[in-house]
Amino acid sequence: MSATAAAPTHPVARVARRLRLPSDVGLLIGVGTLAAMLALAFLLPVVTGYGTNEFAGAPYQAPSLSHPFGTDQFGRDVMVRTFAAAKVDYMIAFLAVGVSLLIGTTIGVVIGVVHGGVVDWLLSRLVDAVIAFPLVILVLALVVAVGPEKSAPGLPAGTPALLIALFVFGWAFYARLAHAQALSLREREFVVAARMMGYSRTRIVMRHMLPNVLATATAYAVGDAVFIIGATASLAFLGAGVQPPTPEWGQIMFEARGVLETAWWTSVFPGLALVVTGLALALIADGLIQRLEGGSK
Amino acid sequence: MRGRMRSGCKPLAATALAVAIAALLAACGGGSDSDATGGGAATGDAGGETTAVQATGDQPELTQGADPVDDLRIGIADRVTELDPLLTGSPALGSIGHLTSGTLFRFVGVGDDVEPALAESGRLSDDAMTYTVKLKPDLVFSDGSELTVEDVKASFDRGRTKDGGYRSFFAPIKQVTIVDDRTVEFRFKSRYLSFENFLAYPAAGIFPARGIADDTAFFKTQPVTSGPYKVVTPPNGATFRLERDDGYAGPKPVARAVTFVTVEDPNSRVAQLRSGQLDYISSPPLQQFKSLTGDVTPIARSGYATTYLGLNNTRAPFDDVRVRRAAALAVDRAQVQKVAWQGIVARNDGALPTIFDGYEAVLPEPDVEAAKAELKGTACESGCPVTLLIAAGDDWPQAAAVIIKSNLEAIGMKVTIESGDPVATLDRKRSLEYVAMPTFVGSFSSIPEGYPSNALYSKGSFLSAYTGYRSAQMDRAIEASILARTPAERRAAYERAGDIFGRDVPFVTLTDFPVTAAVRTELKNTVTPSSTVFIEIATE
Amino acid sequence: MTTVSSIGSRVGLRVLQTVVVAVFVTVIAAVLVRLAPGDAATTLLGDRATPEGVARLQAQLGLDRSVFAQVAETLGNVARGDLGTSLTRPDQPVSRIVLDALPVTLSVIAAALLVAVVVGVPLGLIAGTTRRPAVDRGISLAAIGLLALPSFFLAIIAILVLALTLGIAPAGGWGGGWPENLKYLWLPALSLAVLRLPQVVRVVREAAREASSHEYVEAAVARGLSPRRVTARHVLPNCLLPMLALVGFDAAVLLSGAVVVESIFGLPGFGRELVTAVGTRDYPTIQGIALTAALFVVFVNLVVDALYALADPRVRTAR
Repeated sequence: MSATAAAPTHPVARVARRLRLPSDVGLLIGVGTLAAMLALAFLLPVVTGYGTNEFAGAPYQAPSLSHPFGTDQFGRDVMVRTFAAAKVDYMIAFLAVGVSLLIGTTIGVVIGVVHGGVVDWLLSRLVDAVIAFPLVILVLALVVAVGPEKSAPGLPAGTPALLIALFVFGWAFYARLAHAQALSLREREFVVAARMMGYSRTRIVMRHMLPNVLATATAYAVGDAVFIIGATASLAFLGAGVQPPTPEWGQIMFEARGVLETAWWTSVFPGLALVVTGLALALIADGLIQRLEGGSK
Repeated sequence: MRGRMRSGCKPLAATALAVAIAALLAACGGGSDSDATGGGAATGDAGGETTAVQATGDQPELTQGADPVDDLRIGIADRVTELDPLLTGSPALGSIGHLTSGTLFRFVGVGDDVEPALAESGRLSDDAMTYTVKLKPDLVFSDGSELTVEDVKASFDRGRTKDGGYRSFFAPIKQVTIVDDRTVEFRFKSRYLSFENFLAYPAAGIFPARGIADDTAFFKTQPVTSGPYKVVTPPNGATFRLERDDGYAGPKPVARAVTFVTVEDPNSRVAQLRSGQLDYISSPPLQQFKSLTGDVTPIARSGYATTYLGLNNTRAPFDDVRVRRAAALAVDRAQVQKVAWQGIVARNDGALPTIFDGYEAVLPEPDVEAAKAELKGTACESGCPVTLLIAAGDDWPQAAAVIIKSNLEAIGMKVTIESGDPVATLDRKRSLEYVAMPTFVGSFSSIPEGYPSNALYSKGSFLSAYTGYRSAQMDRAIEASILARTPAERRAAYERAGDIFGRDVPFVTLTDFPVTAAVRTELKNTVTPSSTVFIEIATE
Repeated sequence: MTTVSSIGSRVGLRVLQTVVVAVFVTVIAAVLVRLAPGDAATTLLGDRATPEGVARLQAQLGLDRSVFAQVAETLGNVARGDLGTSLTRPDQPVSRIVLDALPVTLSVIAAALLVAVVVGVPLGLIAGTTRRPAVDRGISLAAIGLLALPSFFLAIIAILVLALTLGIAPAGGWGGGWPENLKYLWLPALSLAVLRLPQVVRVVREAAREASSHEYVEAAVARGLSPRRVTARHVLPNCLLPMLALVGFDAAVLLSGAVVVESIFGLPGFGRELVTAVGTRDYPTIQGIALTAALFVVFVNLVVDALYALADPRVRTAR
């Protein structure tokens, strides 16, 4: 990737330098895209006058001037719904990945530091078990048990169940990643030095290991977010998605899957939004990894 | 090393902060799903038709003497796991029962008229307390063994004691007596005018007496049957195959073999129909109905069932009849019919399916002001919470729920849609643990022991379409329809039930519930769904 | 360096690990599914059931006991190698169900991995060794973009285009035996492969990038050897290790992805059995499938680890 080594030549990077922002082009484009989508999510209903759940036109109208992305089976405007779904999907991805990352990484580091002994061994087996466990059962059972209808403040109906299912599955991956990292970090000079100086284990974990591990995990996490968004969409297939009428890309595409030939706009535009989001996240992930490997700026 | 970390961290922190802020913003916005204009009135041209639109789509009849078919491939949604007709009620499994269980009478054509099949003749006594049936001579089962009056008696005795959903149909039978080697007499506890019609149900199928002595084992493998087809594969496979039983005493169907293929996903069923891998599929997705043309033909036939918005009469807020009436005034049935059902089925404003003799429109046209007026003085006057329960994966209930939600929000209710997994939803429906639920109720024919009992009778096993509605007056009207001596008496009883329904509004009827299918166009007069829900195959 | 006894103790350790994982998985599965409302008695009797009938069937099936008792019994049976009998299909032992469904899913996964490798490795090589950053970016971004699309979407498009419009594949279903099944296999395998393709491309690209900066590669190119050939001969082996790790990871992901693909294509595999079993609350079948799936993943990881150890001497001694 065109990582800036000396003075940035890309126009975007130059502007960024001026504004004292980080100047990796990819990173900027990625974050910028996400921000733009969120902005549209808030602005479009105001600008167009259509609500997210308002039956604004005749059902299944092809894209036109009054409805640039067409309308869906209820006559709701697809453009407003597509961007409104960005709010929901980003929040799900952020929460799912964020919480899994924090909890999983902490557990992984703790296991790594505690290294040896039955507790370490058992916890590692538990991590193995969760990773090996078929995601489908986990999600289906959890969603059914928690109740797909429950909502929470700030979270539309269906998301708590979905999120819990994603947490329970997700923490294990981060735990394993962090564990492996912690094991290798143990032998690094600064940790050995800290141990020799008698710092307590907790201190070593908190101040020396976690920051390093979290950095790597975050880079991985951004890529994981892409997967989570795609997975949420597939979960809609199993009935474990966000409840209607809240818009969510996977749910919208799932409902529209039967009319792919006759009303292509109902699934293609959310699909494009998904791809763009995926690309943006990939750019961000690449940029972050570049930084970690590149070190100083 | 520490130094390296620090300078690398700052921009990282900045990015992380930016992402976090963005996500928090998203979180703040994510909760409210109804932006300002959410409770929208249904605009667009949905309000147009107020007259009932009959079920559209092709309504093909079966052609007698249609071309023979070697292997009819039928795509269904369920796995074939149960072959005991006393335990099955789904259209797919019911159709298998219909094709294999030999019955004394059989359904003719695509309606619920009946004619003798294994029976030669049957006669109801004038007081309707006894029914005498005479068997055809030399009847055999699919394994060649003789079918005798003992088998008839054993089959009906089993039906009277088996824990299934057909108890209420067998309940009026007091005694089954063998008169001679071809005659059986049924004695009833009360007048049973519908008995002959019930004789065509798969649940009334005749099986070998010794086989059904251990019926669980009998139906788990390849049961011996007496119907037009016999079972040649054990159940539970990916496909299930029937072959024509040439020893059957009734008319011979033109398909030599029938293979049922399980394809759970409705869109995949359509894909396989269009590619020619399947000849007939049940329940195509409604969204695609209109686009099935050319090689394939969609079918929507009115039956003996309705879709309705179930209201739990035993708990708030719908335990108050005024709130129920308000719901009836708020729900826009025309829009449900047009958008959720793509206009392929008739709207229903009454207590019974529109094809019943005695159907009357008793529910009011939508009127938001009148609805709000009804709510005055009730617990819902200033808004009350309502959850609409649907099963994940259902197509029309999802669409209907979205419409009903906006209808009810227009009169001030706070509505959330809950979609649960099908088993949990069914569980909650049966134990009356829901507030409101768009669903359907129906039966296989037009007899009063069917739909009217299921939907309106509080002493029936369906608890008044699972609403918990209890009205002594309504019960008496239904009982009167069951015991009516003439069609005119029955119609009068139905009309009384309709009036009570309009006053009490135990649930809000939405549309008729059609039997839907799609078939390869060249076979549309060979295999078709009947109003009874069962798949019918043309005969030679 | 590695003695017989140390190999023996490592194998023993792995076996013990596997057993513990199996126990965890069984318990988690057993408890989880019992959390959900409804049970096999309700689904068996359908919507025509009476409360007494349901209660009677529950007692018959042993569903009226406490969760603890049921899970304990399950563990005991599994320890003896008995996976039990399906609750909703009493003539089917769970082992039969599992053994019938497993080959279908395994063949789809294997074919998907094959496609992912066959398509992904060349793409990754091109991305990793090209002089033109645009090509590299293009391939990488396209790969990631693909990752975001839901698998069912791609599967449906595949059916629409390849099966219905072009008619070069059946629109789903499964044949009666091999080699007939191959005809029904390739489209689902393609759809599933797309799930892992981006990762394969990325891993190969990274390895290629890393390897192509080695001196011997530059030296070989300087001597006039075609960069392509040099890359293939020297870079490919380097990709092997990370790819192996990926395969181990893939096992779990693909097994889950297979569920959606099986639903769309109507394949009688693991995923479909699982969804049916959950839908009918068939506890023994769910537990049996969960256990088998988990063991499969563990087994694949074991094989990957062993290959890893063989290939990379550092790993062997590092324990």
